[in-house]
Amino acid sequence: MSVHDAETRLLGLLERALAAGLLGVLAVIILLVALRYGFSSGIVGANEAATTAFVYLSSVGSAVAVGKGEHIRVTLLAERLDAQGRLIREACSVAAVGSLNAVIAAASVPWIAATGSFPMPATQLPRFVAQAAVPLGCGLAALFCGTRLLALLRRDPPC
Amino acid sequence: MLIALLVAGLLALIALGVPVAYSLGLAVLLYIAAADPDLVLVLPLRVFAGFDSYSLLSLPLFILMGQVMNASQITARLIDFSMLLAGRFRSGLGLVNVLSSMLFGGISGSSASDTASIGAVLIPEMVRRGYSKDTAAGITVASSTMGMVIPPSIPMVIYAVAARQSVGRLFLGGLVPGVLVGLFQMALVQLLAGGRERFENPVLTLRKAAARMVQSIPVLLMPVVIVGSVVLGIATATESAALGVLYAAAVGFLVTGSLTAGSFWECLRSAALTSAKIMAVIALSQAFIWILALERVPETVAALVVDLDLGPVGTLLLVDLVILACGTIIDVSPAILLLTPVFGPALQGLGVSPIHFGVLLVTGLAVGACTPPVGTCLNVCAAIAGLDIGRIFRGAAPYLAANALTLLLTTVLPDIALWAPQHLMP
Repeated sequence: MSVHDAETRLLGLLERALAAGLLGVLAVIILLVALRYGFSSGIVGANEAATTAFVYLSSVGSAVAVGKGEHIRVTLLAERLDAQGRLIREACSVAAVGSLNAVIAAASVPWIAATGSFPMPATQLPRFVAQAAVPLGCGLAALFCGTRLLALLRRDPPC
Repeated sequence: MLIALLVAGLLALIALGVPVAYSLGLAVLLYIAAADPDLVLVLPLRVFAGFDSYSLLSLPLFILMGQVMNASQITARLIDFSMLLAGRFRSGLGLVNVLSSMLFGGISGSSASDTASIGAVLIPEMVRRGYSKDTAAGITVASSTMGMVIPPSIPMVIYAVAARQSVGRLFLGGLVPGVLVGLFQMALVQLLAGGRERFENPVLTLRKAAARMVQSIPVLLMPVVIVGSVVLGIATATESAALGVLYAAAVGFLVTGSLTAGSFWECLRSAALTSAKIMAVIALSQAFIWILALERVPETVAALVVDLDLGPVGTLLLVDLVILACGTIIDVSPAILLLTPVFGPALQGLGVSPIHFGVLLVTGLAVGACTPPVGTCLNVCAAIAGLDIGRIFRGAAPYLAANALTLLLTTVLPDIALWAPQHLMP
């Protein structure tokens, strides 16, 4: 299996996970409203769990958007470059984004080591359960930047 | 010196086409490298703080709600209902276009979806009835700006989180200005495009009119459910968005019959991805805002504002110009996140309500969605109408005067924005 095929498969898998995650969050919130008005009760920590899931959705979703080259950007200047110029600009942009994500992922390690064992207020789960979303998302984004850089240099079509 | 590096770095990266979210992060990294490399350890914490918000959980759900409504093909019902109200008047299709956008804005909260769904149906029909393609596309694009102002509004949710304000009060704050934009645009349609339309008076019996009205009720109840549940304290913004998705899905599956399990799944996938792109901007803007605070930029701007001595209205007019200028070059979400911490504290110091500022910010930035070079709605419309964005903008420009007039009136008369939140959510 080529790098391009592996990347396409991983992106597809992550997109399905994102859709399922959003469906799960939606179900939890509707359930909480139903419990509150139907049975005057709730689920302890459910809002915190939904927020934690949202952190993962945002972090991993952001990495998927990097992989698909779909982030919000201003292309006015870039569109005026010739094909070679566009390729160089895109390669520099992808390398810069990859470096930033790698730096954040690396800086997350001491941060989580220092604060990750504290419990979250409602679920009492250790904070690293939520915090790990940051290095996971940034790590995936850095990985996708690496594969996109490779694809750009080999002039493969985008995923 | 360091702040100049931060701002110049950000502008250069955005101009080079680096994604806006990562331009913010890279500018921060540049600042950290020059100021104190140890600060890099705080970066993941700021990013996490940007993601970790229960209020922002409403963002993917509002996006999902809009997409489910689109997939449910509600546009046809909205246009039918608007035809019923305005189709018989002079330049009826132009009025129908504006009215449909007003109703669509009350349902989806997104201007781009408004442009896509209403434009696809009405632009060809308007051209068939004698409007020039530029005018038809221009009215479509200009009227879609109401989607951001009329509640529910995704940009209002983002501002609410950035300024720590009530989502419900901001929704209500946008109600009167949003309706004013629509009314002014209708007046402009009558004034400027009145004689162009070949009038086709459809024969509509009372029975047919009643049937159309009944068919539209489930769709028209949507904004009442969403905004009403927040304003009456029945649900939080996040819960109301979830209920909105449930309602939209029920309409799609049971009423219009256009929604399938496959299209609902596609909506989930697309909403998760769209929301993640906005969340990346929000998360990395937290790091940027942290640096602005370290460099005491809000305090410096506040001092500058005091030195100018323009008073609240004069200062707000100046801020309006900055908002309009920013809107032409930066997308709505990043512009809200950048301008709020810079101007918010200074304006609060002058006694300007944060709700008033939020409404002005969103109303002003909505114009930017229709202006080149970074006009999201222009790009969407260009794809639908097959016109270049310059021609669409020329068609839209006269109708954007309605937005400018509303912005001016709301600046000078704060009650336009504050009346509804003060009286309906005291």
